[in-house]
Formats: sequence, C-alpha cells, structure tokens
Amino acid sequence: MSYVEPVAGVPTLTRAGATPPGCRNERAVGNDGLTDLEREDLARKYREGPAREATDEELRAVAEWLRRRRANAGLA
Amino acid sequence: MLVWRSGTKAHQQALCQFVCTDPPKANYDEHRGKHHPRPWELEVQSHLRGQRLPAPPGSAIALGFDQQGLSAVVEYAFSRSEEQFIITALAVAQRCQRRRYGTEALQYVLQSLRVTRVNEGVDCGVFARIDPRNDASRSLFDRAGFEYIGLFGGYEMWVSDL
Repeated sequence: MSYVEPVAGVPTLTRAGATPPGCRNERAVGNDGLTDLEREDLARKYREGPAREATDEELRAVAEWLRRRRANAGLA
Repeated sequence: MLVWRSGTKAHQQALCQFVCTDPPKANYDEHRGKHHPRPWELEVQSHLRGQRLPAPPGSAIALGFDQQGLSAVVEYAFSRSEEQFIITALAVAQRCQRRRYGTEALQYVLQSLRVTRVNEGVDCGVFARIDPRNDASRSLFDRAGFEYIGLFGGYEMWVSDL
C-alpha cells in the first residue's frame, strides 16, 4: 500500500485506543495499592455515607440546635 | 504551619496521589476476608482522590501544604437548599500525622465559613457527620467546640455555630 499525503480539511479515522478516554484503566494500581474500580467503590460508599445530601430531619435538628443555642446565649 | 490554597486544576495530580491512611489498602485476612483497621479512612481517601478540581460552585476543596507537599485536605459546602454549611471531608496525610494539622484544617474551614456567612448574608451553622468508630475525628471536632446532637443514618452529627 502506498503512502497517501494527508489532505487538509479531510478528517481521518483512528483506531480505538488501548485504554478508554482519560487514561482510565480499571486494573491499574495506584500508589494507594487500589485499582480504579476498588477506589471508586470506596468513594461511592463515602458519598452515600458521611458526604451524602442532608435530609430534612438532619437540617431540622441542626436548625433546632442553633435556635436553642442562640436563645441561651441571649439569656446569658 | 500549613500554607492553604483553594484547589485548582494545577493541584489535581497531588490530590490524586493523596494518602491519609496506613496501610493504604485493605489486606486479605484468612479469617475476616478483606480487612482494613480503619475503613473510614480508606473511604475518605478514595473519595478525595476521585474529586475533580476546582470544586463546583457551592462547595470548596482547600489544600494545606507543608515543605514536602500536600499535607491536609478539607472539603466543605452549602447543604441542600443552602440552609447550613457542611464539612464533607477532612483528612491529614499519613506522613504528617500527630502535628495537629487536623486542628489547623478545621480552623481554616471555620474561618472561611465565617467570611462566607458575612459575604453571602446567610445565617448558617455548620455540621459534619462522623463515623462512630472514628475517635480521632470525634476528638478533633469536640476540641473545636462542635457538639454531638445525635445519630443520623448511622453517622454521628456534630454541630457548631459560627
């Protein structure tokens, strides 16, 4: 097959890379000894646990604590 | 003393390599299976390493640096409907434990939130959720004047006024 000069303005196709976009490799091990998949699983647990959205019940409890604390500070 | 910076794209690599627990990975135990002595540290480390900088509006990731590099990370935000502030993560690098960097990180956040409260004209308090097994965090927030108000969804809720 002979070499073909690239033509300006004509797009070419490329083969799919060995790794997905962003160089993500699910089996690669980082300096924490975890693979991307293991790390993502732990991160998801954290986002659904201590970093989750506040519930109405939690916000009510915080607001009530603040109201009482400020009322007490006003009396002191 | 740490030098504090708001997390930008330039800090992404340092954050992606941040280690705040030892051992950094859960080990296989013959009797218990996969096991880590402090799983909550492994979870916060994985969460922070996956965060993209800069943080989206309404939240912030602040990074504390010493001469060796990234030493502490703290993530905080407005809660849903901007009623309160929430500290979602606070971690100190494993290589610099016992230097009171956690206290410094917490003071930095509280100062930032006080300024936010004035600038935004909001009347928020601040809260954090703590894993009940995490004695170090409980002690840190207690020393900073936070109060425990109860267990919500399996996590201790600690609150402070600003």
